[in-house]
Amino acid sequence: MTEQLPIIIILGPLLGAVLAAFTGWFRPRLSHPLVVLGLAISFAAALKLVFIVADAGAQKYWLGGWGEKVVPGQKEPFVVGIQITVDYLNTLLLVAVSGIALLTSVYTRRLVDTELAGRQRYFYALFSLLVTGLLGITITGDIFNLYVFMEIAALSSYALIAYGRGRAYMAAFNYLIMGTMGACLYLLGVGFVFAKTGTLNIDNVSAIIPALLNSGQSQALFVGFVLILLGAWAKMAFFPFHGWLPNAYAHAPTAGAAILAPLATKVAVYTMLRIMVTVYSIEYIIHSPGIQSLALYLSSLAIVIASFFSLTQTNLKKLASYFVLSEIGYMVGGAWLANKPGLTGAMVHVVADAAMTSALFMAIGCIVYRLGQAQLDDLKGVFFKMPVTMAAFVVTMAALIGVPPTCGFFSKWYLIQGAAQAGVWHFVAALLLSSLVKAIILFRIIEIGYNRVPHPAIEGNPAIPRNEAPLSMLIPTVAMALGLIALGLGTSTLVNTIIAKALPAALAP
Amino acid sequence: MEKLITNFNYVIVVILMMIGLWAMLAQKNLIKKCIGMPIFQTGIILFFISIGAKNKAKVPILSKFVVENSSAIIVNDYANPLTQILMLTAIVVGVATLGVGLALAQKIYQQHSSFDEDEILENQRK
Amino acid sequence: MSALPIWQFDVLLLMLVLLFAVVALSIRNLMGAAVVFGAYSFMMCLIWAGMGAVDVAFTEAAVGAGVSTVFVVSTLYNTGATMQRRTGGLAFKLFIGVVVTVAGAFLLSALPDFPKWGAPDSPVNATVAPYYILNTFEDAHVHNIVTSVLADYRGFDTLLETTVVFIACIAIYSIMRVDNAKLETDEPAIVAAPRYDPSDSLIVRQASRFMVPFMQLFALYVIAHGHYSPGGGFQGGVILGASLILLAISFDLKFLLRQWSEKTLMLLVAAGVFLYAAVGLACVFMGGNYLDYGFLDSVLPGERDMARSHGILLVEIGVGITVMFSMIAIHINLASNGRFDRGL
Repeated sequence: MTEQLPIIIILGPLLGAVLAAFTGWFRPRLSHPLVVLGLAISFAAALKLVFIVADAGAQKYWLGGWGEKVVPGQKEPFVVGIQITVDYLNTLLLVAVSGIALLTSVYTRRLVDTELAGRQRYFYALFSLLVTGLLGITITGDIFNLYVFMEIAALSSYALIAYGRGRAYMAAFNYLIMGTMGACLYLLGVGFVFAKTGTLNIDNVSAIIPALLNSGQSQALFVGFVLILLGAWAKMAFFPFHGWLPNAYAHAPTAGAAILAPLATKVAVYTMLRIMVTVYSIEYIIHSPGIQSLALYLSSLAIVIASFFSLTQTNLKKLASYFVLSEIGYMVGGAWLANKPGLTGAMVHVVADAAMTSALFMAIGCIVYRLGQAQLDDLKGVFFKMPVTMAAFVVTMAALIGVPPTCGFFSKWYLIQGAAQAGVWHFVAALLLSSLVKAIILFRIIEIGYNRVPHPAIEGNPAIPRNEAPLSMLIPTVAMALGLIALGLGTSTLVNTIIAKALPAALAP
Repeated sequence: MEKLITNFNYVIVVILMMIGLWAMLAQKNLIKKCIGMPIFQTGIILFFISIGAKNKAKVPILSKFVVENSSAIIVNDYANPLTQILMLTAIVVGVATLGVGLALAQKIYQQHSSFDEDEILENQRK
Repeated sequence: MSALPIWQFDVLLLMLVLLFAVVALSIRNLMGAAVVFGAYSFMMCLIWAGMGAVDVAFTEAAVGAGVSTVFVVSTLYNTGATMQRRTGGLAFKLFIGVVVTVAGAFLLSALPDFPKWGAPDSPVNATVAPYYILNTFEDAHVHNIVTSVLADYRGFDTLLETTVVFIACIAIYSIMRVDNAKLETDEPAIVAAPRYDPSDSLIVRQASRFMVPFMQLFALYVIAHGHYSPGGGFQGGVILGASLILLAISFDLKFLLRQWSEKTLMLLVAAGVFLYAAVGLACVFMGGNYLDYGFLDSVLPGERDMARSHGILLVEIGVGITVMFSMIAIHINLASNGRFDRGL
C-alpha cells in the first residue's frame, strides 16, 4: 500500500474533480464534500510520505510499471516510462499544497454560495483540478510531464479567475497570453535539453548533463536553461513578467484568489528550483555569473517596485497581490545566491510564503464576506467588530514583516545571512526595505481599524457585540495563522531533517 | 547544399516562432493574439519533429512481415516515435488553450463591443 | 538530407508556411485571417507528414486545420466584428520586434551545437527511442509504435492530456453559459443578425446528411484500428465531434441539441476521463502500478501482451469519448454565445 502513496496524492483530487463534475448535474450539494474528501486523501498520503522520506530517502514510482530498461547501444539503463518522485526537495511542498488546498476548500464554501450563486456547478471541479495540476508539477520526475501538469493548472486558473466577471475577463485573457507564452518557452527549453540528452526523465538527464558540460560549454544546453528559466519566471510573475498578477488576483472571486494566490506562483518557484538544483546542478549556476547577477538585480528590483506599489493601493486584494510579488523576489534571489543559507532560505520560504499568503487571503476573504468589498478606508472600527479575524490578520502581517517566532522571521534570516555571505548588499537592502513597507502598511491598517466609528456594514445587530465571519471561514483562518507560528517554531527541525538533505553536496557553505 | 537545407529548416522554425511570439505580445486585436498563439506553438512542434527526424526513415508502424520475424526490426528504418507522442500532446493542449482564449475574447466583446485592446482599456477607465 | 524524397518540396512548404503565417497576422479582415490560419495549419500538417510524423499530421489536420478554424470562425460570426481597427502604437510594436529579434538570434546561436539533422545516432534517436521500436510488439502486441508509446509507456501523459481537454470544456462552459431565463443586465446579449444561414441551402443540407454517417463510421474505424495504422482516440474523437458539428452548422443548433441534450453532452465529457482513470485504478487493485495494463490479464482475455493491447483500446475509447463531446460542447458554447439556442 505504501508504495502506491505517490500516485494517491494525484488521484485523490483528480477523481474528486471528475466525480464532482458528474454530481454537479444530479446532486449539486455533493460536489463540495467529494472534493474535500479527495483533498483529504491526498493530504493524508502526502503527510505519510514526509515521514517515509525522512526515514528512507527519495521514493520513486514508475507509472505503467515501466522503470529502467536496457536500451541496445547504451551503457546505462534508462527509464522508458514516466516517473514520479517524492524526495527531500518536494515532500514538504506536497504537504503544504495539499494541506492549504484542504483548508481552503472548507473555507470557501460560504464564499462560493454567496459570490457565485447560481453559477457554481463546476467551481469545485475546477478547484480540484487546479490542485491536481499543482501537486502534479511538484511530484513529477519527467520534464515533459511537468509541462502537461503546468497546463492543467493554468487552464483551471484562467477559468477560476473568469468567474469574477466584469474586469476579470480581460485580466484572465492577459494572464492566458502571458501564461501560454511562459509554458511555450518552457516547452522549447525542454526541446533543447531533449535534443542534447535524448531523455526526459529528470534523474537520467541530471546524470547525462555533467558529462556533456565537461566537454566544454554547451550552447544548446545554455539556451535551453535560459528558456526554461524565462518560462518559470513568466509563470511566477517575476519582474519583468509581473504585469498580469495584480489584476488577475484582484478581480478573481475571493474564493478563487484564496486558492490561486498562495499556491500557483510557489509551485512555479519550485519548478525553477528543481531545474537549477537537480537537473542542471548547482555548479552550472555558479559558473554562469552573468545570469546570476542579473537574476539578483531583478529580484531586488522586483521587491522594491512591488513594495513601492503596495504603498499606493487602496484595495486590500490588490495590496495582497503586490505582497505576493515582493515575496517572489525573495525566493528567486535566495535561490540565485547559490550558497547554503540562500538556498535554504529560498526552500523554507516557498513553504512559509504559501502558508502566509493563504492566511492573508483567508483573513481578507472574511472581511470581504462581511463588508461586500475590501477598500482600506472601509475598515474603520473593524478591530472591534471582527476581533478574531483581525488578530489572525495581524499575526499574518507580522509573519510577512519577519517578526519572530513566526516562520517569516526564520526564512528572512536565512536569506539575509546568505546575501551578506555572498556580499550582495542590494538584496539585503531590498529585504529590509520591504519589511519596513509592510510594517508601515500594518500600522496604517491598525490606525484605521481602531478608529472609534465602526463601519455601518459590520454593525450587525446591536445586541450581538460582534459580527464575525461564519465559523467555517473563521476556523481555517485561525488555524492557518496559528500554523504560521508553529511552522516558525518547527523550522530548525524541518531544515535539519529534510531541507538540508535536499541541498546539493557541492554547495558553498 | 545539404548544410543549407538542414540549417534552413531550423532558421524557418525560429522565424516562425518569433513571428508567433511577436503577434501574441504586440498585436492589439484580441483575435490576432489568439491566432499568434497557435503559430508560436506549431513552430515549437515543428522544432521537436525536426530534431526527431531520421534520414530515409519510414513511418513508425511495424509491418506484418517484420512483426512475424521480430529479429528483423531495424531501428534506423523507423522515424522516432517519442517526439511524435510529445507533439500530439502539445497540439491538443494548444487547441484547448485556444478554445479558452476565444471564449474569453467573446465575453470581452460582449462587454465592450470591441476586440481592440486600446478601446477596451479606454472603456474600462470610464 | 531531408527525409522527404524531394528536398525542393520541403523548402517550398516551409516558405509557404512562413508566408501564410505572415499573411494571417497582417490581413485586416479577421474572417480572412481565420481562413488563412486554416491553410497555415494544413501546410504544417503536410510538412510533418513528409518528415514521417503521420499521427501528428493526422491530429493537426483534424484539430488544427479543422476544429481550431471552426472555433475562430464561430467566434467571429457570433460577434460580427470582422474588420480589425487600424491602430497606431507603432513604437510598442517596434520595441517588441526588437526584443523578439534578439530572442531569435539567441535561439539561433545554439545552431552549431546541435547534432546533425536526421542522424540516426543523435541523442534523441539513440537514447530511449530504440527501446520503443524494438519492444512494442513484444510488450503490447501493437503495430503502431506511436499508439503504444502514447497509451502504454507514456500513458500517464495521455490521461493528463485528456484531462486538459475536459478542463477546457468545463472552463468554456463556466465562462460562457448563461441561463436564458435570467439574462443579466450588465451583459447585454449580442444580437448579430446572421448574414447568411447555411441551413437555407438544400445542397448543404442534403450533402451533410449523406456525409455524416460515413464520417462517423470512419472515425470509429480510426479509433479501433489505431493499433495497426495511423489513428487513435484523439483523431477519431475529433472526427466524430466534427461530424456532429457539421450537422449543427448545416441544419440548426437546436437540431443537434434535440439529439444530444446539454446534460448528456457534459456528463459524457466527464465519463471519458473517468473511464481512463478507472482503468488505471483497476490495475492498482489487481496489484500493479497505476496504468500497468499487464496486471489486468486475469480479467481481460489473453496473455500479458494482449491484456496491454486491450487496455490500450479501452483507454483510447475513453479518450475518444471525452474528445468527441468536448469538441461539440465547446463549439455549441462558442457558436451560440453560451445561450444554447441558435448559432452558426
